[in-house]
Amino acid sequence: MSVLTEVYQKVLLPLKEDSRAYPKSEQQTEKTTTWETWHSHHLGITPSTDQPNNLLEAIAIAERCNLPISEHFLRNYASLEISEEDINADDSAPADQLQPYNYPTF
Amino acid sequence: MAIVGISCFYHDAAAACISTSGDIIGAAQEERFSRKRHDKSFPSHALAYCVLQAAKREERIEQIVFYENPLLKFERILDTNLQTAPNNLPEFKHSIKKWLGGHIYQKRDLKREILAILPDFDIDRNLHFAAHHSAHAASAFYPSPAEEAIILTLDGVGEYATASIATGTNKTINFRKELRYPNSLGLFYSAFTHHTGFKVNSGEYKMMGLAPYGQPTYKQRILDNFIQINTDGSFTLDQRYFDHFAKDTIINEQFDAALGLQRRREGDLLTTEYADVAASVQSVVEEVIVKIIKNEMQETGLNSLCMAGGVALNSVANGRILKECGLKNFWVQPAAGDAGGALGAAYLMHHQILNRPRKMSPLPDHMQGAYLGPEYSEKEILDAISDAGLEYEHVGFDSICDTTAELLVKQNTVAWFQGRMEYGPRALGARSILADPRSKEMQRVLNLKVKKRESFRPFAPSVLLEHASEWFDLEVASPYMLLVCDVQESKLSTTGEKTDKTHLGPIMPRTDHSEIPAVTHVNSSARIQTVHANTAPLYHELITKFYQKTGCPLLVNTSFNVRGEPIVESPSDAIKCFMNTELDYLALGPFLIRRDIQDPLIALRLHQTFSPD
Repeated sequence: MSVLTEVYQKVLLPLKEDSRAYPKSEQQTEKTTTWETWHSHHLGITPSTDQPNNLLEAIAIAERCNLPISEHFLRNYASLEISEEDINADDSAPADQLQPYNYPTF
Repeated sequence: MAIVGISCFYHDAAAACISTSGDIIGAAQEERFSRKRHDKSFPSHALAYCVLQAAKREERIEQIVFYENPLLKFERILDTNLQTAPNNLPEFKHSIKKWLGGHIYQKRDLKREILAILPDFDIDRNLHFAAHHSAHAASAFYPSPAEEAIILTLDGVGEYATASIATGTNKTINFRKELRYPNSLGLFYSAFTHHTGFKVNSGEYKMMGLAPYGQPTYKQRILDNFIQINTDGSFTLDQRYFDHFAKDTIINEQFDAALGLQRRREGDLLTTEYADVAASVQSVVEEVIVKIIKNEMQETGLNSLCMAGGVALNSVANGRILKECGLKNFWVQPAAGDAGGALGAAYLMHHQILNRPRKMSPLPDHMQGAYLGPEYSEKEILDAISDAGLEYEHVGFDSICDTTAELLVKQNTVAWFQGRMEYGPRALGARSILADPRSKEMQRVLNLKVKKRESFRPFAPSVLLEHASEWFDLEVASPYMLLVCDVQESKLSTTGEKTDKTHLGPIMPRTDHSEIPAVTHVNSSARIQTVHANTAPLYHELITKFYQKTGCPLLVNTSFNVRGEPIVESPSDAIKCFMNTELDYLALGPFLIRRDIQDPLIALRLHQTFSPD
């Protein structure tokens, strides 16, 4: 299994079932979208300390800045101990390496 | 203590610098230096240029602001991936490889690149991150002449936002609301750009230029299938037809069937069916924007508008806004795309964090005509000419305008390189190719022999501000070529044959319908640049000389480059581009270079190629 397929299978898909990280705003194809309140994260300028230099910093900052999906994703991703080089070296293995699994759909 | 804003890593990297007093002292896109069109890499050259500009004023760089928030953007990427799982492995791989492979650590990359140029910069304390649409909004409002205005930003996507509405009052911007990904007017337009066979992120201009050749016959189908528009201008895109993660495509296989027209492949014959699609999409986009603005005018009671974001470069839509919305003041940031985010990020720091006062702009605004890039001395220009081994004539600045005007009257095409380079996508008379707009042949000559691009594409006029309303249906200034309006009826010909828009043949421009056919589009419109004596004195003088000789106060103005090439930055770039085209003359500062007397071996030596965009 390629590195990215492994990440997909072991990190993203379980996250889909994790209620803590359930998407805040579902992708809507039927319901009409309207203007939303300006996102609180957009206010002002964020300091350099709100941006990561590495994976561990990214997890901590995501938690501090209330970015739940990033936090959960990165925490699980870190447990796989995949290096940045491994990710960059991935050669996009075919999708059929993905194990069949029944996931809930929206 | 100056502030630098930086935009990069997606497209159109740039740096911009604001002085302690709030003046823009430098702004430039990296592509001009690197010679890579839409270069997205860290803008090392542009930053170095800004540092140099600050040093000339004895200012040090105090703060640097990146134009968006990478970690928040990562949250949105994951959010979207979660929503489309478990059916999105290829898309996940495509997006997540970029992010886990480096994008979320952009701070690390920024630190490395900045310290290479500014080794003493206190990076841990003085590097900051703005939000994408905040930066756009700041770039729209702060350099504008408006004391109070609605601020509208529209683009593809930043972090989550794809559109935002704020109100600006003096130095305060009150951000009010936004539309969020995947409902994006920019991505909607880009999807049809791709369908029409042009490249996303660079072909949007082409689609806008194509639209007048067609009729909006696909509009109802688009409204029925692809987009639902509310009365306040908010909208929903039907995601069954879009694939925003797919590399450089945006649309999926169901798109063609829903539209009822197969996607045109790049290089295929361009027929009126695709012009009809372009006209239809253009009409829908205009409808959305006009609804947003009218609604905001009603909600806020304000009648001034400032705009930025890539969609604000749609000069046809801007013309319709001007015509239909009843605005008292309307101003668009000339670098409305992501390059302008660099300027906006610096402005945010200047006014909102450092709380520095806002100087009200000298008219027409604070952008200094967008001539914010590098300029070259007479000696530097002469060195470049000598290095190339070219024959030249030193005409001098006293005579360069008169001499060039005479050459233009005699139907020569002239490359014009003078003063500081423009910031933003338009050439505004500093790095321009010029010609006589009265010529019936000029559009074809310029497109095919000089620019080496599609024959249907129109050219724009630079007109003396004082005479603009005599020739065009325009009552306001348009210094940045961001407004399309009609050529005055008195300048249109009634003898020319009407274009048959019902056949499905190839798209062809008209040449017989106007006194100025080279700049009159097929629907009798033109994308206007008004030339102002206070911001562009030499260019104004040149057009004045042409006017005195011909009675025509305008010139054809197109960017000094060939297809796929960034606009020239330096004298050396100018010489290479000139020698690779069939341009007749190059006015390079006070020097005049005639192409047909040069040693042909020089052209061979300076040969360069660019991938078509």
